[in-house]
Amino acid sequence: MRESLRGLLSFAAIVLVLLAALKLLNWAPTALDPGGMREYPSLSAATAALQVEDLLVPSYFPEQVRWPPRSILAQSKPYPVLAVAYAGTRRDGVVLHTTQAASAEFALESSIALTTVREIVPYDLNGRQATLAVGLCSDGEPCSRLTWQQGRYWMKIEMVSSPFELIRIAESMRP
Amino acid sequence: MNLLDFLNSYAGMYLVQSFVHSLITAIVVDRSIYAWRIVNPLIMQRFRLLVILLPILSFPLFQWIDPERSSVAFRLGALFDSSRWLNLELFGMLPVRLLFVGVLLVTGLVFLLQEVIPLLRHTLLSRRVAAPGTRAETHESVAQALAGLDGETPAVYLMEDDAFTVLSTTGSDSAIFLSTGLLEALRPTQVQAAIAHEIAHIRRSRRPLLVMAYLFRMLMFLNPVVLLEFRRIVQEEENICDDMAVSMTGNPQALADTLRRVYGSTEEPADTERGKLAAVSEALEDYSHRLLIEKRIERLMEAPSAEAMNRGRLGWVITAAAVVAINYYVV
Repeated sequence: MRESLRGLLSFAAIVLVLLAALKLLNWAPTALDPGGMREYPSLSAATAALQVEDLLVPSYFPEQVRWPPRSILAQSKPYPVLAVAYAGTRRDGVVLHTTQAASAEFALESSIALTTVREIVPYDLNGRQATLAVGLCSDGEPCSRLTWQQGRYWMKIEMVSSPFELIRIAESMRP
Repeated sequence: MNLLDFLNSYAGMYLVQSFVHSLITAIVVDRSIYAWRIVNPLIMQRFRLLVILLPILSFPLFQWIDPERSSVAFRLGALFDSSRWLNLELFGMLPVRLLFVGVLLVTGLVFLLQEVIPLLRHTLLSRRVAAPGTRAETHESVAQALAGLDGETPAVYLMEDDAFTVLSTTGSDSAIFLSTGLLEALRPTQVQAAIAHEIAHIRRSRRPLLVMAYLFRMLMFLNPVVLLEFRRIVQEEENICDDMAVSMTGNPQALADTLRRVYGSTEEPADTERGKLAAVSEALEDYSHRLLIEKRIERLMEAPSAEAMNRGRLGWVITAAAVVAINYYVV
């Protein structure tokens, strides 16, 4: 019994040291190269740190979207990405999610996901060919998604709302 | 598809995560053996098998449990995210992912040169040998040795050779081969110890877990951690067979003397015809081999208590559970 307890304590110490080492090793690359994916406190901090000037931010916000954003994730390496989540004013949780990535391979799963797609239609967004998807989120709320390519970026906006507000937000996106 | 895209694909993530998971498992297992004070080679081998068995299954299992595990959101909250290192460029010019792939390719090459080619050569050579030798059961010391051993015994063949050789073949026609030189040099109790050790190898080779471990190791041929760990498992197998031989003969001293006699008489390599580097490499290999033999002899002479031999079963369960839990948050 005493032997088992001794073994257990030694093993617990090993696990704690390993966890600390893994945390340190996980942090080290961000210290060596700040361009990796991380969370930023503000959009200006993200654009300044990543030194990417052509990040698109909406200038129109409907009443139900709260400013400032709830979370801002960004990276400049291996390719620029900006993913911004906005909370709602009338409901808890994220109601708007914008993703801008310089790679078609990038996929960030947002908390807004169309579980039931009712319609997918092409949409002309300021002269660019976009794809609009309309349906329901997992909680049964109406949700919509707009995707298009703008310059070197693949854009995606998802919103807990009908597509009308989503289109106005997309049309207002500028560097 | 470029390297970055490949490493972000399912196959690439499998390759990366199985490597990182095996490295973490190897560290935890190695330290656990000391923490739980494991002395039984059978239990020690079970610990080491975790390094081969868990990483091959962990990635698909974890992805099945949570398909979002490869998402950026999960990676941001993970204990360790390998992509942070793989996306890093050393001195602004050398991507770590290139080094990583280089290590895997070198491991694959080592596997090919040190394991696959010798195995194929050995298989081809053994097929060409029509007569394995003469049956040795009529030899007095062999007959004595076999009479003192319980259970089914394989055929024993005698090879006309002055060198000290004892080996066994496994499979359906398993057999033991002894050289005439060895038979003349050993006392009957030592011959029995040598045969008992080979019988242990034959009996162990039929265990499905070991066969599975070998197959898994073949599948993970690019993983350097698995390559090293498998070699340690093979060394542990010698200790297990030593213990089985002692349990069959009840004479650890005879086995220790046999090991000293068989492996302690290696002649010094002559370096006149070979290059000096080859001679140094051979000398180093010989030195490490002798060290292993010395450790085996020491272990045989120590004879740990029954309590010590049973230690570690609970530790194995706790270690396996901890490794699975930690690796789940390592992507």
